[in-house]
Amino acid sequence: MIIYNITWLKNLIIQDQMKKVQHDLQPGELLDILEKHPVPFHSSNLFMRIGLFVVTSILTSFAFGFVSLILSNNQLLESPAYYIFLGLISYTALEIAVREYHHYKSGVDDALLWTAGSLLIMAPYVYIDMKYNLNNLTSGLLISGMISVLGTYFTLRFVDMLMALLTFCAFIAFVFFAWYEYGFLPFATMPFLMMIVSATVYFLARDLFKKHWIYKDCLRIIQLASSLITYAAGNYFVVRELGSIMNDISLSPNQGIPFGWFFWLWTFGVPLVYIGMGLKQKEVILLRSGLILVAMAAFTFRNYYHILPIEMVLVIVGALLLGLSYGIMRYLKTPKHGFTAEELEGDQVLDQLKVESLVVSGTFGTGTTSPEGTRMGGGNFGGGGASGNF
Amino acid sequence: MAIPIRKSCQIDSKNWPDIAKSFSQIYVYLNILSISSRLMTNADLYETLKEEGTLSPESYEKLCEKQGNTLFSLHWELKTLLYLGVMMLSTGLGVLIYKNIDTIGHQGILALIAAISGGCFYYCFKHKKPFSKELVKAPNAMFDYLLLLASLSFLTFTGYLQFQYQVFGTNYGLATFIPMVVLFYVAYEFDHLGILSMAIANLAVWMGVSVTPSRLLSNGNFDNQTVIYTYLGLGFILLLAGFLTDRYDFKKHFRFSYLHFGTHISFIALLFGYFNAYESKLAVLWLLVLFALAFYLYLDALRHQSFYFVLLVILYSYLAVSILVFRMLDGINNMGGLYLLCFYFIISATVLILRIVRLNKQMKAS
Repeated sequence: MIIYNITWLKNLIIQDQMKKVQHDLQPGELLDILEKHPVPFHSSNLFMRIGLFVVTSILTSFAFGFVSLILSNNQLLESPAYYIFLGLISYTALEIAVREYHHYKSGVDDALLWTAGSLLIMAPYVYIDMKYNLNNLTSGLLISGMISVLGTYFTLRFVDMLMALLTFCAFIAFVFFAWYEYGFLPFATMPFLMMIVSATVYFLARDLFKKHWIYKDCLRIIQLASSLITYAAGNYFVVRELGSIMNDISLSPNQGIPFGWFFWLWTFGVPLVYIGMGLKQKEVILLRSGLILVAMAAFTFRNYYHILPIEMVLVIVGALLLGLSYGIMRYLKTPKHGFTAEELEGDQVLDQLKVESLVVSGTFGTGTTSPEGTRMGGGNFGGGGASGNF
Repeated sequence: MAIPIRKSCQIDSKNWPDIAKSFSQIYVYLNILSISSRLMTNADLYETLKEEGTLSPESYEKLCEKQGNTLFSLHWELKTLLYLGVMMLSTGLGVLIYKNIDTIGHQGILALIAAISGGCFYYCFKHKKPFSKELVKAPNAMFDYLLLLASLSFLTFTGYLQFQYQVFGTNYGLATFIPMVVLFYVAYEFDHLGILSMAIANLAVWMGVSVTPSRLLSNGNFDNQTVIYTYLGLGFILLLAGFLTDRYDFKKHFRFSYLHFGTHISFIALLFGYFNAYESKLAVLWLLVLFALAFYLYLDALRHQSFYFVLLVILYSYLAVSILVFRMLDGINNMGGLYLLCFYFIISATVLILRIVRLNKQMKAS
């Protein structure tokens, strides 16, 4: 099923791991290991991957445009078979690039994968949708089903993380639409069904994660996504708003929902459970999704109960966060219970990319221009105010 | 597709075991799939290497021991929380002040902001490591964020001061110049990349706006050319700063930030310059400058083994070449031009792909 040479994938893991711990090796040992475990893949650095993705997309779109231009007087362009044909061409190109030229996450293969996938899905979908004039539900059912099937194949064959994520989301959407259309009391049972389904996927992925190192990354992202969706399925806001849309009724702002207490409990309890479990089992995915979800819970609460004005909340929470993280850092100054606040060796990928400084300039970049705004306004206002006073 | 679902969803409970069974079959299949190639944990990996003989017993012992007491790092989680805390606190305070300006009074607000900024700066000065031309690591993880908070509140402070009391009078240039200088100083003194980016953004504000308002006042119409030249000047200054940092070995790791902003700004300014002068015959000069710059930056990026800048240069120059080709083909009658355009893109993209692939290999090998 898998297209890549498994030994090479294995060697890739060996190389990565040994490079991480190279300080503990004896001189020359690393080179020896690298030599005995070659990885003849052609993979690109992250930036090169982006560049190759862009250029390959340009190439495919103009090549297809060229073919279409030649055939522009033909009836052929109207049939879905033509687009499927184009999709198959990109798929063939993908297979060749990977098999013959050993591309592995190089950007070229990514571009071809997504081109092939979208053409192969969209062509039949648009055709069927137009021909049978499907309603929203069946059309959603159709496309999510198609994506799940094709996506599963692509994920298993090309081990692509994003494809795995898309496939999982499509699968969840498929279950949703299917239950909505054909299920038993869909309105009342939907949240519980979604919880059960995505929790099952989570545990399945976690179990598989330990056994299938090839799909490690894919399974990791599925774990993250499924843990988030398990939460979302029972989040008060999601249940209330999605439920009222599904049922086509508008709830008044203060109106509760049946089993409201349960969903509130879920909204606040689950993030804490995630964080607790993440810390206890030292699972980074659960811990991080728990942290994200605490914010979600806070937003949900604020959406229904306005106790404090927003700026007060920001100040208080901001100060609390600073205090809390400072406290934890102090507490973990010497590692306790297997936790540390320090960075681990060989984990500085983000540091190398200087992502943090870019994030700072991105979020505060506009903030720094505020002196300009106040200055310009200040000039005008100041003058106006002065003349008004006198 | 819809039929089997309808069947299975009619709550005939007898269908469920079938579904469960097929699921478990898939599961078993997946298991078999990779059972031949199991390699689960790092411990297994070390063991395989040892059995092969590539890993010496001493190293194996060492690695296994380390593996046994690996710590679970909360580093990034804590950093994110700190960052969020700083962001929320400074935003919240800003809004709070804005809303309560009538009740607190200006002096009170100013004092509060100054206290926060001063307090944080005090902490940073007290805990900082001595200045060095090289990379200086922050003494603790809190340090960077307190410094960020200090600088942000300092910016608010000066902005507020000018807005309310016109401390700098009508000398608008000075009102942005001083924060900028302070930010640059802080960035160098404490070795903080984030604040360096803020300082660069402030430099742009200072330059960009101190040029245009004077024009705006003198003749009342806004000439685009000036903005373009300003941006171009800014871009070149930043590139020069990046170059000098490297040349004199002074905070070498700041080079990335300078070049990052410098490259984008210069290329964008040059492209806009070209379009602004599109009608005139001299427009090509802009692109010639662009190609010259691209060539220099390309060699520079190769020398520094920087994938990011190689990519930037390639993409910007490809864009420029494509613009030129597009212009040339614009004159030809519709269909022929379109064919040629497709042809150009197909060929150029293929060449570019091959080139990037080769480049990637070369840079990796060295």
